[in-house]
This record gives sequence, C-alpha cells and structure tokens, in this order.
Amino acid sequence: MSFNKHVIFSACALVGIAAITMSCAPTVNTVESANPRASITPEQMKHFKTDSALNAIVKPIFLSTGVADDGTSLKVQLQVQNTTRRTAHVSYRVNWLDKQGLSLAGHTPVMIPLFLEGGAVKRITVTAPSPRAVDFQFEFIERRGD
Amino acid sequence: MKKTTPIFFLAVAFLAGCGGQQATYVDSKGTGTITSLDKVDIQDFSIAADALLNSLYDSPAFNDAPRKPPIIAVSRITNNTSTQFDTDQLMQKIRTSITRSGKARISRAVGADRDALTRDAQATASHTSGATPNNTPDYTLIGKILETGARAGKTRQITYTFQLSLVEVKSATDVWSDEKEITKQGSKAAVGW
Repeated sequence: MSFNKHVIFSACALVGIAAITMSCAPTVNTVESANPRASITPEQMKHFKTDSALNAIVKPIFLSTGVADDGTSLKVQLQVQNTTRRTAHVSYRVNWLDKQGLSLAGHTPVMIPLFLEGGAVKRITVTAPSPRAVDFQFEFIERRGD
Repeated sequence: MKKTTPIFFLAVAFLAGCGGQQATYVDSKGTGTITSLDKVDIQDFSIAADALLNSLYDSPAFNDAPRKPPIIAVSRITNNTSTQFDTDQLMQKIRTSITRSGKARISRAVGADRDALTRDAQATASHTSGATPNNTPDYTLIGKILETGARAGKTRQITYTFQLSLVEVKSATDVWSDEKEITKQGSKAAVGW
C-alpha cells in the first residue's frame, strides 16, 4: 500500500516538473532557414569576375537563372555581399554571350554603379536583351576615387 | 639678368605643365566619364536605358500582342529638366535595343519617328500594288524626364527620373510602365565615378 502511494507521489512529481519545464520554454518559434548560408558553386564562379582590389570585399553568395516573363529571354539573379564593415562603392556590368561564347553583337554592356553598405547583401536581377543570349558574366570593379 | 632668364623659363614651363590634363579617349560606357551636377551625363542615359529595358524585357508586355513581332510607335519624350538636351540620346538606345532584340519593331510611319521619305516610298508602293498599308501601331512608347534638386551647404544633389510607359493602342492602357532614378551628389563635377 505504501509502495503504491510512493509510486503515485513520484509520478505526480514528474508530471509537475514536466509541466513547469514546458511553461518556462520560450514561446517563439526558432525554426532555422532551410538554407541559412547561401553558397555559390565553383562552376557558377565562372559567371563572376572582380578586379583584385574587390576580390576580398565583394563576394557572390547566390546565383540563380531562369526565363523571363516573355518566355524567351534568359533571366539571372545574383546576390552579392560586402564582406567588410565599410561601404563599398562598386560598378558592375553584365556581358551577355551567345551560343558560341562570343559577346552578343550590337550590345555594349553598361557600367552600373552599386552601393554596398558594410555587410549588406544585394540582389541584382537582369534580363538578357535578346533570346540569342544564352550565357553571361558579371564583372565588378571598384569605383574610381575610393 | 642672365640668372633670371632661366628661372623665368622654368617658371613658365612649370605653369604650363600645371595647366591641365591632356585630352584623351575614354570608354563612354565605362567609369572614366565626367560626372556633372547640373546636367544629364552620357552615362546617365546609358544607365537609365539599361534599367528600363531590363524591366521591359522581363515583363510579359508583348505576350498578348495581336501580331508578332508587334509594331511600336515612339511618342515624344518630354524633357522637364532645367537643361536642354535631345531626348533621342535616351530613345535611340531604347529603339536600337528593341529592334535588335527582335521582340518588337519600331514604326517610321507614325509618331515622333515619322520619316517623310519612308511615308512617300510607302505611298508609292501602295499605289503601285493597290494594297493599303497598315500603319496602325500596336503599342506606343511615351516618356518623361524629371529633375529634383536639393542643397545642404556646399553639397548639391540632383535626381533625374526617367519614366517610360508602353501603351496598348487598342485599349489605350499601359501594359508596362517603369521609372529609373539617378541621383548625383557633390560640390563640383568630377572625372570618373
């Protein structure tokens, strides 16, 4: 009889401890991102070129390709990160290549200014100017005077 | 007197050397061009055209066109800035890119691009063949360039807004519209950016 009482008392104590522990647990969901640290494959690195000064400052972290809404043109999204704490003033251009790997005729790429605050990640989305463009290369250079 | 002459020539040579930078060619689509604070620079037109075309090509604007490729008539681009310039500096880049893309064709029979010789030649051809040419464009391209200035002490800031819309003629509605802002800040013009 006293043995039964002892078992019931122990079970109640365990349930009580479990209830207290559960009520003290944080109520915020701490679900991790499926891909917390985006990465770029060595194969994708061929689409990215920087000058030596920018090599350690601006890093590509994600590259994705698809088709634009018109259903014919290549669409590319690149995420770059400023890995330093200082603001980086850079310029980039996209060289579009045809199926022979040559620069797209009649299309001179334009240098576009880009400001990257320290640690910032920016998305660059570009659409090919012609369905003839099947490949691309991003070229980043440091802004003059910095 | 004899001692002062060489010094005089050296001083003249030194001052002549400081007179300025010799003119040289730069890449007009690169980062070595001059950046002004009081006008639209050549790179501003290139950057604006690139951004607007990127947006246009990413849109399904031409997907529902009644004919492929559709025909676009370019309307006049309004320059609402304080400086005078030919808006063709922007529009020619857009025309060229659209034509080369193969996504649409630019009409020379109507709109701001109307060419008298083309129309005459078309009239002669239609008279000979008896067929009436269909000059009705499927879309029109309209635009505006705006300017907003600000100043804080010696620092000036100027923003140029390039607006462009593609209008479907049949419904008289915008099928695509976008704008690109370019802001420049500083106290004086500079070489390179």
